[in-house]
Amino acid sequence: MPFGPIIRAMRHNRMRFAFIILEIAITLAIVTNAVNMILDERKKMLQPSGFDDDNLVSIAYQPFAPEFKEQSYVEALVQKDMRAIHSIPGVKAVATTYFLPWQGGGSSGVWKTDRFNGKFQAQLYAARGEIFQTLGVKVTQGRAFVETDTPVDSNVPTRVTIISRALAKKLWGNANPIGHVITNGEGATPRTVIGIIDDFYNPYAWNIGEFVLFTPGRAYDTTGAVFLVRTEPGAMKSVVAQLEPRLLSVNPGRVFRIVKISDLKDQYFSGGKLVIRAMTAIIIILVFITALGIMGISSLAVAERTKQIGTRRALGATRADILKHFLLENWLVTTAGLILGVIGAYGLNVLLVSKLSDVKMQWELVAGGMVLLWINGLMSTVPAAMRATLVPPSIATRSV
Amino acid sequence: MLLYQLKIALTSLRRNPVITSLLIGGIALGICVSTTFIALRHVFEKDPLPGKSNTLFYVRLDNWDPQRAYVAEDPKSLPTMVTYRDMRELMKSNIPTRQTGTFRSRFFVHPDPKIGRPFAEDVRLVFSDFFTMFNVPFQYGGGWDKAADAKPEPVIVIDQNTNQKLFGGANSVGRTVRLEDRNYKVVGVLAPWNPPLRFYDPTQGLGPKVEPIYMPFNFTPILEIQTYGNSDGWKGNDGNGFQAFLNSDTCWLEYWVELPTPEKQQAFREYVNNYVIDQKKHGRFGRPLHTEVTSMPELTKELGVVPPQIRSLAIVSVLFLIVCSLNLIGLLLGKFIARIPEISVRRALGASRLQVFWQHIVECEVVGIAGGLIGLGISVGLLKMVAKVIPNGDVVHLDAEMIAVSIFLSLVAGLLAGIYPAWRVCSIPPAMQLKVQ
Amino acid sequence: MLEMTHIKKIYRTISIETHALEDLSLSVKAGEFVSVTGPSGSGKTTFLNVAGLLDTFDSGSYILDGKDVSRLSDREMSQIRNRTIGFVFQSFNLIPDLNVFDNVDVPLRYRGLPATERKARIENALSMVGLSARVRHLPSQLSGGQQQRVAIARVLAGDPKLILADEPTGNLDSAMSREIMDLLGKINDNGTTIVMVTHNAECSERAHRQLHVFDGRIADVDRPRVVLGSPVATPGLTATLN
Ligand SMILES: Nc1ncnc2c1ncn2[C@@H]1O[C@H](COP(=O)(O)OP(=O)(O)OP(=O)(O)O)[C@@H](O)[C@H]1O
Ligand SMILES: [Mg+2]
Repeated sequence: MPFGPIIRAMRHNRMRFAFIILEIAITLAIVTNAVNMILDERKKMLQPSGFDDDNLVSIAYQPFAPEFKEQSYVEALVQKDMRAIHSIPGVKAVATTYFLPWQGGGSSGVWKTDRFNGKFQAQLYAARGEIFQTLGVKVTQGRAFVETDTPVDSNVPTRVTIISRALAKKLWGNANPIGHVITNGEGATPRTVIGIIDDFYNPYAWNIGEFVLFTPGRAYDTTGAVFLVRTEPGAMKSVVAQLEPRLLSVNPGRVFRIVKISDLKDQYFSGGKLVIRAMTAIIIILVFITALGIMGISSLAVAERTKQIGTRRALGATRADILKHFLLENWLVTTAGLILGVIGAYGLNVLLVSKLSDVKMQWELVAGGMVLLWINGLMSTVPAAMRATLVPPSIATRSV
Repeated sequence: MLLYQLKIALTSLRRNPVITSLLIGGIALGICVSTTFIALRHVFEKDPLPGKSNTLFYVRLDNWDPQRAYVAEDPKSLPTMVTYRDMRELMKSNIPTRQTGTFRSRFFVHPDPKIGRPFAEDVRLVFSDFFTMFNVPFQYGGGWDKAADAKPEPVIVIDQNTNQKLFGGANSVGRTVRLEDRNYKVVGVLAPWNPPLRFYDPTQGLGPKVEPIYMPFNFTPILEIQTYGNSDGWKGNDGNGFQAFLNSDTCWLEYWVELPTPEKQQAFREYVNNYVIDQKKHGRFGRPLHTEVTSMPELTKELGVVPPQIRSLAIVSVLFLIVCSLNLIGLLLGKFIARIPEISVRRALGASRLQVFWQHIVECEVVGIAGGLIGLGISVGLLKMVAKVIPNGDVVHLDAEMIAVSIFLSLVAGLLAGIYPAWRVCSIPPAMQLKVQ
Repeated sequence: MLEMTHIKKIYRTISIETHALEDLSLSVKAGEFVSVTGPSGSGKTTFLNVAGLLDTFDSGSYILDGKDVSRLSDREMSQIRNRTIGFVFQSFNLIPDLNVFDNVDVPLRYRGLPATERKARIENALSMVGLSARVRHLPSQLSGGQQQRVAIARVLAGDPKLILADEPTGNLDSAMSREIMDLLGKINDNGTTIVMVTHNAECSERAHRQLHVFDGRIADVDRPRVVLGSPVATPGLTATLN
């Protein structure tokens, strides 16, 4: 097909084409970056915690009654509370822990160990009771905590720890992690690894979401306690309704706060959901608008050139030639827009990417976006181009 | 002249209602999307204390582990808060005109049993300067004085909700509130105060609201008040007990100073550096000397209080608006070209090129404003939807500044769409061209 | 070359039927130069449209260059327009976005000729109309006569057997008209058949044979030069019909 004359002819309407080229370029830049952001948010959302999120609920109490000032009283009360929670129909397991899945943080520390150069950062949570049954994670190597792991004196540090598979891998590769010792950053408070849990993920700054140490410590003191409860599927509502009355009957001198983990998770992802919904809407509207724009410009181009089309037909152009002419013209415009758009896509990516969450533009995405907009461009030209083929050649002899 | 042009523009727009509504719809679409997300960003990024935030500075010291930076991968990083002992020492300076160390805790409020059961409430511990520094609005009374700081006197400031709960909204200044096992005298009741971010606490990000109760900081060592916010430590305490915690290298306080002049800023920076250099002699601060005295706007930017996604949405939505208005160029071009005969007659009758140009720009701006107003209306609804999705969403709304921005954007969008078509038609020669085609 | 018998062409709009061609019969031999005159609205352009396969007709038969063209597909008609026929229009019909060279190139492109041959033909045609120096000009940068010469070059480059011209001098002054007529005459001398519609008596004089269209029928007014056979008597007309 005659590229040369088409391009030379287009130069006479270059402003008009320039706008469409710009529009297509920006569309590509937006679409690719929006999809990139959507994929990134989805990836975060699809990352499983490893826990039975939907059946987990946390209940924390804060005491105001004077008897709570006694550590020994609290010690006995927490055991009573756990039994009370356990007796609620539909409760599968309960533990006390400061760990709260999906709250977007938690507690962490800096640690050292043998055979690992330097220090590393990992989350740290004290927990008592059936913590792993409650979370729904499996101890795949070694053993779970037993009651005697928790020192009787609350001032004595714990001696053992159970860590996540990902952390064991990072520290010792494929070697057996059981029996290794992890200390704090100064080399004090040594703890022996006695078990490995599989699949732990709790989003945390510094990318330590998969790294955790659990210790058999107390997640309660004279200022209050937190219980994590796992229910049978479907029993959440009835369990939540009974939690507070049951514990109030054990001791009424305190107030409670109940949080469903599914709600926490929803809240944690609220920003991501907003991004996904907004970006999806923007992509759809944008592709639609660009299609409308191309349709408008191409029918204008056809309407303006009726006489010219008739002349071409008179000079021997077949209908197919006319169709090809307009599709080719559009293809050139779209392609120019897309080439500019590739630069735009990467440019916008640089602008949008923050230091914290760098979601790099993938070339597959850019290629995909180009194909989409190519098809979009061609489809949007077809109506006008079809109309052009219907221009009769006798238009050529008609006086204006 | 403008009025006459406005009249022609309206006539011309009425003549072709389909195209006109397409044009207005296009602008409205772009404006509603861009206004929504710019407003969202604006709510969280706008200066909480216009005219003042530049004089408020947040202090940070790198007292972290000599072997490992605060953020291990970034050797330039430093803790986001300061230690109790450093804050105490630095507060001895009289360079700042005002200053406060502050943190968040949680207390039990014991109301009159007739009113209800005890409830736990967030309490912020502050120095008296806090209220002036952050323009805290009062309905009744005010903050406490320096004497109350020093002693400390059992005084508190409560917010409107708490005042409603405890005293039925009456002027409660002078009355007492029991927190845990002590009574405190109410000295001030806040007017409604709902900044979108707890801007004096940059460690919290989006979400948490300002605290309902404020009490003198100096109760901290006396009552052994523990923080309910973040605390970052890298090293155990020397010994047990609360005093050991206060003396430790654990960072858990926010420390703000007011430095109105560049001289004071300079002097205070030197003072902080000298303090750290002196501490090094005592074996603390093992890392290279690094202190930051950062103004509030810079700090907000640096700590990225606003999630990057909100910024991205705002940028993308502006580009979206550009596409919307570029899209209208074709439509306007078609509309204007169809009008060429009319225009050449007008030109022959003496309309100047500039008049024809303005005529069409006015027409585009009428479309822009109309689309902008509709888009603004839609974005109010969109923002309501967005507010439901994000935490602390009830602070999201359109303020006067955003409405102005939105109108301005619609004018720009109208101009962007119209300038080329208008230029095309104004270059039509006065009489019909003699040459065919 | 061109053999029309009993051609009828009716334009139908919602309310009116216009009988633009009413039983038109005509024969033009190869190498002839025929002019067609007639009052406005008599059907001259319609005749030219039908002759040039720009429009269909309702009944009758039409044999062009020995081939029956009454029942051809659009594609075949396009091909004949492209190869056998050359058009010269009253309003030149140059493509405003293309320069002189590209304009002459248009029909050659549709014919799918190789680039070198196209170039040779274009340059040759432009030199014949004396516009070799203007290849890069746009139509809007040329005078009317020059534009029409480009249009003629466009015809020449295609080397057609038949040239159909609709008032080629209608938009030109008399000096220019003469120049264009000289050109057409030269082309005809080389053996190309020309059928030209014109209002201009002077132009009409240049033709070998002058036909007159009246109410959609054709009359041969140039009695001395009548060379065509198969006369069909038609009442009411002053001349022999073809
Ligand atoms: N597309 C059409 N639809 C309907 N009627 C038409 C159409 N084209 C031509 N006519 C009618 O057919 C008749 C012949 O028209 P034509 O254009 O052939 O005349 P003409 O001889 O070329 O006139 P002129 O010298 O003014 O150019 C006229 O009455 C005209 O109104
Ligand atoms: Mg005519």
